[in-house]
Amino acid sequence: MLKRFFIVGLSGLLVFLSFLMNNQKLFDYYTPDLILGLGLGGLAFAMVLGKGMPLALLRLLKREFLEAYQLQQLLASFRHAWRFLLCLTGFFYLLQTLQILTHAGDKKALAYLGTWLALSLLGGLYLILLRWAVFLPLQAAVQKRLLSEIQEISGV
Amino acid sequence: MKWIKSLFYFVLMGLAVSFFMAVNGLHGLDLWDPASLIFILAGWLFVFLNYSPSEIFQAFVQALGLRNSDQSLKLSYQILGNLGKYGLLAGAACFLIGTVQALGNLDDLKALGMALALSLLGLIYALGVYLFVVIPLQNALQHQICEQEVY
Repeated sequence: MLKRFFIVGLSGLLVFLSFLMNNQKLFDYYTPDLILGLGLGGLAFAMVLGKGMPLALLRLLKREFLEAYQLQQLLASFRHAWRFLLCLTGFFYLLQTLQILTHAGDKKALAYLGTWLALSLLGGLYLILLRWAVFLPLQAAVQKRLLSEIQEISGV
Repeated sequence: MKWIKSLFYFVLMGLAVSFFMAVNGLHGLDLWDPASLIFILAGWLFVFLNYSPSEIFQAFVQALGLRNSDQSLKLSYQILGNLGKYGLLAGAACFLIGTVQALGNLDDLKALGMALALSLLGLIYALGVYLFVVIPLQNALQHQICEQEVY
């Protein structure tokens, strides 16, 4: 666990260093609407749609034993959760597009266009960060465990 | 024999890239940006979350066909695939961050240049490693997996 914290911390430090070298501010990439929307959507999926996913995830993180079928279920849940978040971001993006279209020709149309562009780019950025820092490491952990269990079962 | 094939691949790919760069008047130094490189390194670091350094080393050794090891070929394939994916995701994040920064500094030419460098060079580094390292090694491992499954 300590090793994982160290790796994530080191990675975060490198990203921060890269930001410093480019004179960037972290606050420029903060949009509460998207963060809250994606957070609540993810929570809804984990609690209601991803049956048993949080418990299995907790057991995986605690390195407790999980059957092969449970690991496969967890892997499928990750895939569905990822698709769910992709669709949710797409939904927000379409809502924002509709909003800007209703203001076409207004004096403030350009400001709405800026907000729409920022939301589109930041939506993509949040999804990439989620895939990079959450989904891919968890999926890799499950796949590795599944592979070793399959090998144990087949006696390779 | 595998070494000759790998060498041939690297020579051909190197020629393709250097020809493209020469025709378009690009220099190697134009492609150097430490900030982008650090960002992509942060992406590759994530591969150590799930795999130990020895497992990663074994994956490279197996893919290059240097020596036999007890490690599963499928695990090595997974490791290399994840290495490529982490790099590409970090490259994509770099691209979007650079684009946001560029859009916020449209009136400042120096800041615009730095933002676009971050935006494009990060993606180039990640794609370069994926193209020159991950794909050939994964290809070699896939052949070994197929051979193992047949016999």
